[in-house]
Amino acid sequence: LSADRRTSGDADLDVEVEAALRNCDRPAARAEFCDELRRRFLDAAGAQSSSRRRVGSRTVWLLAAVVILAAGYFLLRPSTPEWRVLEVAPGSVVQADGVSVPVEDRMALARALQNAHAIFVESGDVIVRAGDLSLFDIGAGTHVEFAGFHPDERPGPLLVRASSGRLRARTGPGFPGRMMEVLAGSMEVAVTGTAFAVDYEEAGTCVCCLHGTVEVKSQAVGAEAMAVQPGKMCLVFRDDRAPLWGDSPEAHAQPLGRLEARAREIWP
Amino acid sequence: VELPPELRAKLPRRDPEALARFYEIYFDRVYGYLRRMLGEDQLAEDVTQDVFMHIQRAIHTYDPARAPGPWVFTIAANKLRDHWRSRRHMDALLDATIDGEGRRVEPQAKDRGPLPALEEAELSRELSRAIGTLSPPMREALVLRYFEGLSFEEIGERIGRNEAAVRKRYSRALADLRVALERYVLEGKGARR
Repeated sequence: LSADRRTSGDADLDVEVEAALRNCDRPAARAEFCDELRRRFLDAAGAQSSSRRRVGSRTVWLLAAVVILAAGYFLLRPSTPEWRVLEVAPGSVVQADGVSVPVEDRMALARALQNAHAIFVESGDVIVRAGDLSLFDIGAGTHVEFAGFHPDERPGPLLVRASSGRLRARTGPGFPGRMMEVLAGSMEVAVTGTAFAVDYEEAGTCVCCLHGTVEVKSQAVGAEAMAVQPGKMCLVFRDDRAPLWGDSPEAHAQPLGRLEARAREIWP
Repeated sequence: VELPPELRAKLPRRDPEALARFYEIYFDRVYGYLRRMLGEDQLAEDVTQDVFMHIQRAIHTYDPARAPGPWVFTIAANKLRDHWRSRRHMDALLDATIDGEGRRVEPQAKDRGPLPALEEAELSRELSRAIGTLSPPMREALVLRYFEGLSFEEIGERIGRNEAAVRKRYSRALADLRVALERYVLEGKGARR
Protein backbone atom coordinates (compact mmCIF):
# COMPACT_ATOMS: atom_id res chain seq x y z
CA LEU A 1 0.00 0.00 0.00
CA SER A 2 1.33 3.38 -0.86
CA ALA A 3 0.35 6.34 1.27
CA ASP A 4 -0.18 8.25 -1.94
CA ARG A 5 -2.56 5.72 -3.44
CA ARG A 6 -5.21 5.20 -0.84
CA THR A 7 -8.65 3.88 -1.51
CA SER A 8 -11.71 5.16 0.33
CA GLY A 9 -11.58 1.97 2.42
CA ASP A 10 -7.99 2.73 3.40
CA ALA A 11 -8.92 6.26 4.44
CA ASP A 12 -11.53 4.80 6.82
CA LEU A 13 -8.90 2.48 8.15
CA ASP A 14 -6.51 5.35 8.80
CA VAL A 15 -9.11 6.94 11.02
CA GLU A 16 -9.35 3.69 12.90
CA VAL A 17 -5.60 3.37 13.27
CA GLU A 18 -5.31 6.95 14.46
CA ALA A 19 -8.15 6.46 16.94
CA ALA A 20 -6.51 3.31 18.22
CA LEU A 21 -3.20 5.16 18.59
CA ARG A 22 -4.85 7.79 20.74
CA ASN A 23 -6.13 5.06 23.06
CA CYS A 24 -2.84 3.21 23.18
CA ASP A 25 -1.29 3.52 26.63
CA ARG A 26 2.23 4.85 27.08
CA PRO A 27 4.60 2.02 28.10
CA ALA A 28 5.29 2.23 31.83
CA ALA A 29 8.70 1.68 33.38
CA ARG A 30 9.35 -0.63 36.33
CA ALA A 31 8.75 1.25 39.57
CA GLU A 32 12.16 0.09 40.93
CA PHE A 33 13.95 1.50 37.91
CA CYS A 34 12.05 4.79 38.14
CA ASP A 35 12.88 5.16 41.85
CA GLU A 36 16.53 4.17 41.46
CA LEU A 37 17.10 6.59 38.61
CA ARG A 38 15.32 9.35 40.52
CA ARG A 39 17.63 8.79 43.47
CA ARG A 40 20.72 8.89 41.25
CA PHE A 41 19.47 11.93 39.34
CA LEU A 42 18.76 13.93 42.49
CA ASP A 43 21.77 12.69 44.47
CA ALA A 44 24.22 13.58 41.74
CA ALA A 45 22.67 17.03 41.42
CA GLY A 46 22.84 17.55 45.18
CA ALA A 47 26.46 16.45 45.32
CA GLN A 48 27.48 18.90 42.63
CA SER A 49 25.51 21.69 44.24
CA SER A 50 26.97 21.17 47.73
CA SER A 51 30.52 20.77 46.48
CA ARG A 52 30.11 24.14 44.80
CA ARG A 53 29.00 25.71 48.07
CA ARG A 54 31.98 24.23 49.98
CA VAL A 55 34.50 25.75 47.67
CA GLY A 56 32.72 29.12 47.68
CA SER A 57 35.17 31.38 49.53
CA ARG A 58 38.24 29.63 48.22
CA THR A 59 36.85 30.09 44.74
CA VAL A 60 36.67 33.85 45.18
CA TRP A 61 40.41 34.05 45.85
CA LEU A 62 41.19 31.68 43.05
CA LEU A 63 39.02 33.69 40.70
CA ALA A 64 40.81 36.88 41.66
CA ALA A 65 44.13 35.26 40.84
CA VAL A 66 42.80 33.96 37.57
CA VAL A 67 41.49 37.41 36.62
CA ILE A 68 44.92 38.96 37.21
CA LEU A 69 46.64 36.25 35.19
CA ALA A 70 44.05 36.46 32.44
CA ALA A 71 44.40 40.23 32.22
CA GLY A 72 48.15 39.83 31.81
CA TYR A 73 47.66 37.19 29.19
CA PHE A 74 45.22 39.25 27.17
CA LEU A 75 47.53 42.25 27.25
CA LEU A 76 50.52 40.25 26.09
CA ARG A 77 48.98 37.52 23.99
CA PRO A 78 49.48 37.11 20.27
CA SER A 79 46.31 37.64 18.26
CA THR A 80 44.24 34.56 19.03
CA PRO A 81 42.85 32.89 15.97
CA GLU A 82 39.16 32.23 15.69
CA TRP A 83 40.16 28.87 14.33
CA ARG A 84 41.62 26.20 16.56
CA VAL A 85 43.51 23.08 15.68
CA LEU A 86 42.07 20.24 17.72
CA GLU A 87 44.04 17.27 16.44
CA VAL A 88 47.02 16.73 14.22
CA ALA A 89 47.89 13.16 13.31
CA PRO A 90 51.56 12.25 13.79
CA GLY A 91 53.58 12.85 10.64
CA SER A 92 51.09 15.32 9.18
CA VAL A 93 52.40 17.66 6.52
CA VAL A 94 50.32 20.76 5.94
CA GLN A 95 50.69 23.60 3.44
CA ALA A 96 48.97 26.96 3.65
CA ASP A 97 48.96 28.85 0.33
CA GLY A 98 51.68 26.53 -0.90
CA VAL A 99 53.99 27.04 2.07
CA SER A 100 54.67 24.24 4.55
CA VAL A 101 53.48 25.09 8.04
CA PRO A 102 55.06 23.61 11.18
CA VAL A 103 52.41 21.43 12.75
CA GLU A 104 53.95 21.31 16.22
CA ASP A 105 52.77 24.81 17.15
CA ARG A 106 49.01 24.52 16.95
CA MET A 107 48.40 28.24 17.52
CA ALA A 108 50.66 29.10 14.61
CA LEU A 109 49.07 26.39 12.51
CA ALA A 110 45.58 27.69 13.30
CA ARG A 111 46.57 31.25 12.36
CA ALA A 112 48.11 30.05 9.12
CA LEU A 113 45.08 27.99 8.19
CA GLN A 114 42.62 30.71 9.04
CA ASN A 115 44.36 33.29 6.90
CA ALA A 116 45.22 30.98 4.03
CA HIS A 117 43.30 30.94 0.78
CA ALA A 118 44.24 27.35 0.08
CA ILE A 119 45.12 24.52 2.42
CA PHE A 120 46.71 21.26 1.41
CA VAL A 121 47.05 18.39 3.84
CA GLU A 122 49.74 16.45 2.05
CA SER A 123 49.79 13.61 4.55
CA GLY A 124 48.28 12.81 7.93
CA ASP A 125 45.05 14.30 9.16
CA VAL A 126 44.02 17.56 10.80
CA ILE A 127 40.87 18.40 12.72
CA VAL A 128 40.13 22.10 12.99
CA ARG A 129 37.39 24.07 14.65
CA ALA A 130 36.12 27.17 12.87
CA GLY A 131 34.77 29.08 15.87
CA ASP A 132 31.32 27.77 16.69
CA LEU A 133 30.45 27.34 13.05
CA SER A 134 31.86 23.94 12.25
CA LEU A 135 34.44 21.25 12.80
CA PHE A 136 36.42 20.03 9.80
CA ASP A 137 38.40 16.85 9.50
CA ILE A 138 40.80 17.31 6.59
CA GLY A 139 42.37 14.09 5.43
CA ALA A 140 45.55 13.24 3.57
CA GLY A 141 45.73 14.48 -0.01
CA THR A 142 43.01 17.07 0.49
CA HIS A 143 43.09 20.47 -1.18
CA VAL A 144 40.52 22.74 0.38
CA GLU A 145 39.66 26.43 0.31
CA PHE A 146 37.41 28.18 2.79
CA ALA A 147 35.58 31.49 2.36
CA GLY A 148 33.28 33.33 4.73
CA PHE A 149 34.66 31.80 7.92
CA HIS A 150 37.01 34.58 8.94
CA PRO A 151 35.50 36.94 11.53
CA ASP A 152 36.59 39.92 9.44
CA GLU A 153 34.71 38.69 6.40
CA ARG A 154 31.27 39.95 5.56
CA PRO A 155 28.51 37.63 6.84
CA GLY A 156 27.19 35.51 4.02
CA PRO A 157 27.22 32.00 2.74
CA LEU A 158 30.11 29.86 3.85
CA LEU A 159 31.98 28.43 0.91
CA VAL A 160 34.18 25.35 0.96
CA ARG A 161 35.90 24.14 -2.18
CA ALA A 162 37.34 20.65 -1.85
CA SER A 163 39.15 19.51 -4.95
CA SER A 164 40.77 16.27 -3.79
CA GLY A 165 41.12 13.90 -0.86
CA ARG A 166 38.50 13.69 1.84
CA LEU A 167 36.78 16.31 3.94
CA ARG A 168 34.36 15.77 6.78
CA ALA A 169 32.37 18.47 8.48
CA ARG A 170 30.02 18.81 11.40
CA THR A 171 28.30 22.14 11.94
CA GLY A 172 28.22 23.76 15.39
CA PRO A 173 25.88 25.89 17.50
CA GLY A 174 26.92 29.10 15.70
CA PHE A 175 25.80 27.70 12.37
CA PRO A 176 21.97 27.80 12.46
CA GLY A 177 20.74 30.53 10.16
CA ARG A 178 23.80 30.21 7.93
CA MET A 179 24.20 28.19 4.76
CA MET A 180 27.27 26.27 3.69
CA GLU A 181 27.98 25.48 0.08
CA VAL A 182 30.58 22.87 -0.70
CA LEU A 183 31.99 22.68 -4.19
CA ALA A 184 33.38 19.25 -4.89
CA GLY A 185 34.34 18.56 -8.47
CA SER A 186 31.21 18.78 -10.58
CA MET A 187 28.98 18.74 -7.49
CA GLU A 188 27.54 21.54 -5.42
CA VAL A 189 26.53 20.44 -1.94
CA ALA A 190 24.18 22.70 0.00
CA VAL A 191 24.19 22.16 3.74
CA THR A 192 21.90 23.48 6.45
CA GLY A 193 23.16 22.12 9.75
CA THR A 194 24.51 18.63 9.60
CA ALA A 195 27.39 16.19 9.62
CA PHE A 196 28.56 15.18 6.19
CA ALA A 197 31.57 13.89 4.27
CA VAL A 198 32.98 14.42 0.81
CA ASP A 199 35.36 11.74 -0.46
CA TYR A 200 37.17 11.72 -3.76
CA GLU A 201 37.38 8.13 -4.91
CA GLU A 202 38.90 6.65 -7.98
CA ALA A 203 35.45 6.12 -9.47
CA GLY A 204 34.02 9.51 -8.56
CA THR A 205 33.04 11.84 -5.74
CA CYS A 206 31.02 10.53 -2.82
CA VAL A 207 28.88 12.65 -0.48
CA CYS A 208 27.69 11.00 2.73
CA CYS A 209 25.25 12.41 5.27
CA LEU A 210 25.26 11.38 8.92
CA HIS A 211 22.35 13.58 9.95
CA GLY A 212 20.74 16.86 9.02
CA THR A 213 20.06 18.27 5.59
CA VAL A 214 22.42 17.77 2.68
CA GLU A 215 21.38 18.49 -0.88
CA VAL A 216 23.45 17.59 -3.90
CA LYS A 217 23.26 19.44 -7.17
CA SER A 218 25.08 18.17 -10.20
CA GLN A 219 24.41 17.69 -13.86
CA ALA A 220 24.75 13.99 -13.25
CA VAL A 221 22.02 14.11 -10.61
CA GLY A 222 19.60 16.17 -12.68
CA ALA A 223 18.21 19.66 -12.81
CA GLU A 224 16.84 19.59 -9.28
CA ALA A 225 18.90 19.37 -6.11
CA MET A 226 18.53 15.93 -4.53
CA ALA A 227 18.63 15.27 -0.80
CA VAL A 228 21.08 12.78 0.64
CA GLN A 229 19.24 11.15 3.52
CA PRO A 230 20.89 10.49 6.90
CA GLY A 231 23.00 7.36 6.75
CA LYS A 232 23.03 7.46 2.95
CA MET A 233 25.46 8.45 0.21
CA CYS A 234 25.44 9.76 -3.32
CA LEU A 235 28.34 8.78 -5.55
CA VAL A 236 28.75 10.83 -8.72
CA PHE A 237 30.96 8.95 -11.14
CA ARG A 238 33.67 10.55 -13.20
CA ASP A 239 32.31 8.90 -16.32
CA ASP A 240 28.77 9.04 -17.67
CA ARG A 241 27.27 6.47 -15.37
CA ALA A 242 24.18 7.46 -13.39
CA PRO A 243 24.86 8.50 -9.78
CA LEU A 244 24.78 5.73 -7.23
CA TRP A 245 22.54 6.20 -4.17
CA GLY A 246 22.79 3.88 -1.21
CA ASP A 247 23.96 3.38 2.36
CA SER A 248 27.06 5.24 3.49
CA PRO A 249 30.07 2.95 3.20
CA GLU A 250 31.56 2.08 6.55
CA ALA A 251 34.93 3.57 5.56
CA HIS A 252 33.26 6.97 5.14
CA ALA A 253 30.71 6.73 7.93
CA GLN A 254 33.09 5.71 10.69
CA PRO A 255 35.39 8.76 10.59
CA LEU A 256 32.31 10.93 10.31
CA GLY A 257 30.92 9.25 13.42
CA ARG A 258 34.18 9.99 15.24
CA LEU A 259 33.96 13.66 14.24
CA GLU A 260 30.37 13.70 15.50
CA ALA A 261 31.53 12.31 18.84
CA ARG A 262 34.23 14.97 19.00
CA ALA A 263 31.65 17.66 18.27
CA ARG A 264 29.44 16.43 21.08
CA GLU A 265 32.31 16.68 23.52
CA ILE A 266 32.77 20.31 22.51
CA TRP A 267 29.11 21.26 22.07
CA PRO A 268 27.12 18.93 24.35
CA VAL B 1 2.11 19.13 31.40
CA GLU B 2 5.16 21.38 31.39
CA LEU B 3 7.33 22.64 34.23
CA PRO B 4 6.06 25.97 35.67
CA PRO B 5 8.25 28.98 34.75
CA GLU B 6 9.25 29.65 38.38
CA LEU B 7 10.70 26.14 38.65
CA ARG B 8 12.31 26.34 35.23
CA ALA B 9 14.34 29.31 36.42
CA LYS B 10 15.74 27.19 39.26
CA LEU B 11 16.82 24.27 37.10
CA PRO B 12 20.22 25.60 36.00
CA ARG B 13 21.08 26.12 39.70
CA ARG B 14 20.17 22.46 40.36
CA ASP B 15 17.48 23.37 42.83
CA PRO B 16 16.31 20.05 44.40
CA GLU B 17 12.61 20.90 44.24
CA ALA B 18 12.82 21.96 40.59
CA LEU B 19 14.82 18.85 39.67
CA ALA B 20 12.39 16.55 41.47
CA ARG B 21 9.42 18.09 39.68
CA PHE B 22 11.28 18.00 36.39
CA TYR B 23 11.92 14.29 36.87
CA GLU B 24 8.27 13.62 37.73
CA ILE B 25 7.10 15.31 34.56
CA TYR B 26 9.63 13.95 32.10
CA PHE B 27 10.57 10.49 33.29
CA ASP B 28 7.45 8.75 31.99
CA ARG B 29 7.50 10.69 28.74
CA VAL B 30 11.15 9.96 28.03
CA TYR B 31 10.88 6.31 29.00
CA GLY B 32 7.68 5.90 26.97
CA TYR B 33 9.27 7.47 23.92
CA LEU B 34 12.40 5.34 24.17
CA ARG B 35 10.49 2.14 24.95
CA ARG B 36 8.41 2.59 21.83
CA MET B 37 11.44 3.44 19.75
CA LEU B 38 13.60 0.60 21.03
CA GLY B 39 11.00 -2.08 21.61
CA GLU B 40 12.72 -3.59 24.65
CA ASP B 41 12.41 -2.78 28.34
CA GLN B 42 16.07 -3.29 29.15
CA LEU B 43 17.32 -1.16 26.26
CA ALA B 44 14.80 1.54 27.10
CA GLU B 45 16.02 1.58 30.70
CA ASP B 46 19.66 1.83 29.62
CA VAL B 47 19.06 4.73 27.26
CA THR B 48 16.67 6.49 29.67
CA GLN B 49 19.41 6.35 32.27
CA ASP B 50 21.87 7.86 29.79
CA VAL B 51 19.41 10.64 29.00
CA PHE B 52 18.84 11.66 32.62
CA MET B 53 22.50 11.44 33.55
CA HIS B 54 23.30 13.63 30.55
CA ILE B 55 20.59 16.08 31.59
CA GLN B 56 22.00 16.09 35.09
CA ARG B 57 25.47 17.02 33.79
CA ALA B 58 24.21 19.57 31.28
CA ILE B 59 21.36 21.17 33.23
CA HIS B 60 23.37 24.36 33.74
CA THR B 61 23.18 24.93 29.97
CA TYR B 62 19.38 24.79 29.91
CA ASP B 63 17.71 28.10 28.94
CA PRO B 64 14.82 28.73 31.38
CA ALA B 65 13.17 31.05 28.85
CA ARG B 66 12.17 27.97 26.88
CA ALA B 67 10.03 25.01 27.84
CA PRO B 68 12.24 22.04 28.75
CA GLY B 69 10.32 19.57 26.55
CA PRO B 70 12.10 20.21 23.25
CA TRP B 71 15.49 20.30 25.00
CA VAL B 72 14.80 17.02 26.79
CA PHE B 73 13.59 15.26 23.65
CA THR B 74 16.51 16.52 21.63
CA ILE B 75 18.83 14.88 24.16
CA ALA B 76 16.72 11.72 24.10
CA ALA B 77 16.76 11.62 20.29
CA ASN B 78 20.55 12.06 20.27
CA LYS B 79 21.02 9.24 22.77
CA LEU B 80 18.75 7.09 20.66
CA ARG B 81 20.87 7.76 17.59
CA ASP B 82 24.00 6.98 19.59
CA HIS B 83 22.46 3.64 20.43
CA TRP B 84 21.50 2.92 16.84
CA ARG B 85 25.04 3.62 15.76
CA SER B 86 26.46 1.44 18.50
CA ARG B 87 28.01 -1.94 18.01
CA ARG B 88 25.37 -3.52 20.22
CA HIS B 89 22.57 -2.38 17.95
CA MET B 90 24.43 -3.39 14.79
CA ASP B 91 24.93 -6.88 16.20
CA ALA B 92 21.24 -7.11 17.05
CA LEU B 93 20.31 -6.04 13.52
CA LEU B 94 22.61 -8.67 12.09
CA ASP B 95 21.00 -11.35 14.26
CA ALA B 96 17.56 -10.22 13.16
CA THR B 97 18.55 -10.41 9.52
CA ILE B 98 19.99 -13.88 9.94
CA ASP B 99 16.80 -14.98 11.68
CA GLY B 100 14.82 -13.73 8.70
CA GLU B 101 12.98 -10.98 10.51
CA GLY B 102 12.12 -7.68 8.93
CA ARG B 103 10.48 -9.19 5.87
CA ARG B 104 7.70 -7.04 4.56
CA VAL B 105 4.34 -8.60 3.92
CA GLU B 106 2.28 -6.92 1.27
CA PRO B 107 -1.26 -5.92 2.21
CA GLN B 108 -4.29 -7.85 1.18
CA ALA B 109 -6.52 -6.21 -1.41
CA LYS B 110 -10.03 -5.66 -0.17
CA ASP B 111 -12.72 -3.04 0.09
CA ARG B 112 -12.81 -2.71 3.85
CA GLY B 113 -10.16 -3.17 6.50
CA PRO B 114 -10.34 -5.93 9.08
CA LEU B 115 -9.81 -3.76 12.17
CA PRO B 116 -13.43 -3.90 13.36
CA ALA B 117 -12.81 -7.60 13.98
CA LEU B 118 -10.35 -6.74 16.76
CA GLU B 119 -11.40 -6.03 20.31
CA GLU B 120 -10.12 -2.75 21.73
CA ALA B 121 -7.60 -4.25 24.12
CA GLU B 122 -6.37 -6.65 21.52
CA LEU B 123 -6.09 -3.83 18.99
CA SER B 124 -4.09 -1.72 21.44
CA ARG B 125 -1.74 -4.61 22.20
CA GLU B 126 -1.23 -5.51 18.59
CA LEU B 127 -0.75 -1.86 17.69
CA SER B 128 2.04 -1.54 20.23
CA ARG B 129 3.73 -4.58 18.72
CA ALA B 130 3.26 -3.23 15.20
CA ILE B 131 4.80 0.13 16.14
CA GLY B 132 7.90 -1.79 17.10
CA THR B 133 8.18 -3.19 13.58
CA LEU B 134 8.20 0.22 11.87
CA SER B 135 11.48 1.54 10.55
CA PRO B 136 13.14 3.91 13.05
CA PRO B 137 12.45 7.14 11.09
CA MET B 138 8.77 6.29 10.68
CA ARG B 139 8.47 5.12 14.27
CA GLU B 140 10.06 8.34 15.48
CA ALA B 141 7.62 10.51 13.50
CA LEU B 142 4.68 8.48 14.76
CA VAL B 143 5.74 8.35 18.41
CA LEU B 144 6.58 12.03 18.64
CA ARG B 145 3.32 12.93 16.91
CA TYR B 146 0.94 10.70 18.82
CA PHE B 147 2.51 10.04 22.15
CA GLU B 148 4.31 13.32 22.71
CA GLY B 149 1.78 15.52 20.88
CA LEU B 150 4.35 17.40 18.81
CA SER B 151 3.36 19.18 15.61
CA PHE B 152 4.89 18.09 12.32
CA GLU B 153 6.90 21.28 12.31
CA GLU B 154 8.29 20.61 15.79
CA ILE B 155 9.18 17.06 14.85
CA GLY B 156 10.93 18.37 11.73
CA GLU B 157 13.01 20.75 13.84
CA ARG B 158 13.92 17.91 16.15
CA ILE B 159 15.07 15.48 13.49
CA GLY B 160 16.43 17.96 10.96
CA ARG B 161 13.81 17.38 8.27
CA ASN B 162 11.21 19.70 6.79
CA GLU B 163 7.53 19.50 7.67
CA ALA B 164 6.56 17.87 4.37
CA ALA B 165 9.10 15.10 4.87
CA VAL B 166 7.80 14.44 8.37
CA ARG B 167 4.21 14.29 7.10
CA LYS B 168 5.28 11.79 4.50
CA ARG B 169 7.02 9.62 7.07
CA TYR B 170 4.01 9.77 9.31
CA SER B 171 1.68 8.87 6.48
CA ARG B 172 3.85 5.92 5.53
CA ALA B 173 3.95 4.85 9.17
CA LEU B 174 0.15 4.75 9.27
CA ALA B 175 0.08 2.76 6.06
CA ASP B 176 2.58 0.27 7.47
CA LEU B 177 0.63 -0.04 10.71
CA ARG B 178 -2.45 -0.77 8.67
CA VAL B 179 -0.57 -3.48 6.80
CA ALA B 180 0.70 -5.02 10.02
CA LEU B 181 -2.75 -5.09 11.58
CA GLU B 182 -4.28 -6.60 8.48
CA ARG B 183 -1.62 -9.26 8.45
CA TYR B 184 -2.33 -10.02 12.08
CA VAL B 185 -6.02 -10.47 11.47
CA LEU B 186 -5.79 -12.31 8.20
CA GLU B 187 -2.74 -14.47 8.74
CA GLY B 188 -1.30 -14.43 12.21
CA LYS B 189 -4.20 -14.22 14.65
CA GLY B 190 -5.22 -17.84 14.41
CA ALA B 191 -1.66 -19.08 14.59
CA ARG B 192 -0.93 -17.14 17.79
CA ARG B 193 -3.84 -18.57 19.69
